Amino acid sequence: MLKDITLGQYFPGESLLHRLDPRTKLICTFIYIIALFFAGSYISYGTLILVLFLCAAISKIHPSAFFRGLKPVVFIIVFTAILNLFYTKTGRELFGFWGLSVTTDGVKIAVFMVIRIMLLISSTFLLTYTTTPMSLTDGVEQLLSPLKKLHVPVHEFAMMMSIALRFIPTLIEEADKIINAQKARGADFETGKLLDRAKALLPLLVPLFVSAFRRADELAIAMESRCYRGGVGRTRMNNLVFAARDFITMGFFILLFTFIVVILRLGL
Amino acid sequence: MPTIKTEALSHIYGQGTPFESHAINNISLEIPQGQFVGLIGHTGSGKSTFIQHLNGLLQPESGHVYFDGVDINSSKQLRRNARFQVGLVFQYPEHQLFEETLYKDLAFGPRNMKLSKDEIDERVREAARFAGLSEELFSKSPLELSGGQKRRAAIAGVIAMRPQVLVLDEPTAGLDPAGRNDILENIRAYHKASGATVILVSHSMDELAQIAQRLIVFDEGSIVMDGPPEKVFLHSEKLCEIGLGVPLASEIALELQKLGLNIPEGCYTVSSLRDAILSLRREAGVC
Ligand SMILES: Nc1ncnc2c1ncn2[C@@H]1O[C@H](COP(=O)(O)OP(=O)(O)OP(=O)(O)O)[C@@H](O)[C@H]1O
Ligand SMILES: [Mg+2]
Repeated sequence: MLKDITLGQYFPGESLLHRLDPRTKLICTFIYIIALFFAGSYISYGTLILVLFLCAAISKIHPSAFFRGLKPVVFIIVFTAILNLFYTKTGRELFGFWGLSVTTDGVKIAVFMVIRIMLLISSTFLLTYTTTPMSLTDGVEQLLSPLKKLHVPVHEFAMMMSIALRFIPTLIEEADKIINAQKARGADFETGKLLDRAKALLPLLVPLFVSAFRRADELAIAMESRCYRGGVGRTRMNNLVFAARDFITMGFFILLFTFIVVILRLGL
Repeated sequence: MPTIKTEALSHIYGQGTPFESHAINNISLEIPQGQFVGLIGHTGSGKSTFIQHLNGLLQPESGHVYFDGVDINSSKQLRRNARFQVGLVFQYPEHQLFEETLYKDLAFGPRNMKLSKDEIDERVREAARFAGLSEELFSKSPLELSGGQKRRAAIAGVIAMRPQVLVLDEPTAGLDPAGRNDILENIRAYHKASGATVILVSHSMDELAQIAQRLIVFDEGSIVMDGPPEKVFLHSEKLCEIGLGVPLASEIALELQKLGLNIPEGCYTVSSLRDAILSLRREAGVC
């Protein structure tokens, strides 16, 4: 069941998206997400969906990877949809029961909300699917490096992020192992009432935390024994350089953003 | 009446992904109650995958697993029941210990069986005795135990459920010879005392020659040989072909036979070979 969690996973590839500078991908994802919050009409949502499909097609990543990524959040999506469906009071009433009514606006907003969440998640997945955790954190570090002048520990922050990304799959694997060990001795994750099954999860958390702390300890020793002392005076082997494709991609996303804002202004 | 029976069991990892691998293919076998079975095969031959089907941890791609004539995968409840009957000790014992103290860890299985407190206590102590763990360790964290003690703890945790079938995945890997013999001796004693079926996975022919009544040889996900050790060790060439070899004693016996000496068949342990050589010398009047 935990195998469905694809956060932080990278799919090796050679596509344009894989070759882009991580900073470009970060900036473009950011622009895309902001644009998503400006979108409110069929045209703008249609454009954004189209752009995401285009990017996904370029990346050559199998669509099933995105569906698998969305699976764990289905509950949140459905929940949001239902809330929006019943709590929107404007528009023509379609039908109603038990004092609740569903209106045309409600349906529209609920659909938009669902699309928005799915696009939001899929676009970040596209980022992590096509970027190795290492280059992702390099990108974050470089983008935030102006803050170093303000004594913000940017390097440390980026290092924390890369460790977190690196260890998500490890922790999932670990959790799977503990679940198996407990199942083998009759722990009940499958039958029984929901409450019983939730209770069975509790003995899973303690060993998982213990092992996470143990790993952290081991990693700290490994880093120290290789003389890691934080970001001060640290140089890097591969410096990031923008290429022509990076500027073109960024230009395209800025255009996209402008287009969405104009549409909003014109009220289309 | 056969306790465990598998029928055309196959398992594929990562089906539909680029990482697809056929771990086991079409495995059918029957293991009667009380037998001591050795499972041997090259690394990656599917041994661990196979035994995880026996208690329903993995579900087959196709085929069935029967315990006492009941298909364990026919309902979730049956599958869970099978886990109390078929106790599985994992390949890496450190993955199997998760409670704060050793005592709690050993009590995990019996507690899930909803036994009374006294009954649980009795079983924990009995299991610790069988596995050779002293009761002074009960209050220690399992993580503070030595490698060998962890192995014993993992075995005891399973024995505490008093399973009718005990499956052990390489319980002696990475131990020194003394520790290995100790654990094997404990397992043999448990087999004798409880009458349970024991399935022991191992890489070591010598180890299995000492202890198993029946040997099953795996290669690339299929069973290539199945029979009593003395029969299996006759096919030394075939065994070498799949990278396994025969026990040292058996190899020496074969060489001596080639020299024309009258060594009886089935000498595959050091002690039986010693006896055979001694009786030959006696016949020849050397001593
Ligand atoms: N969780 C898994 N996901 C994908 N493939 C796996 C998984 N576990 C095992 N495999 C593959 O299945 C095959 C059989 O593995 P298995 O662990 O059953 O071998 P084994 O006989 O127990 O080997 P060993 O003696 O090294 O323990 C191997 O090719 C392995 O790569
Ligand atoms: Mg194995």
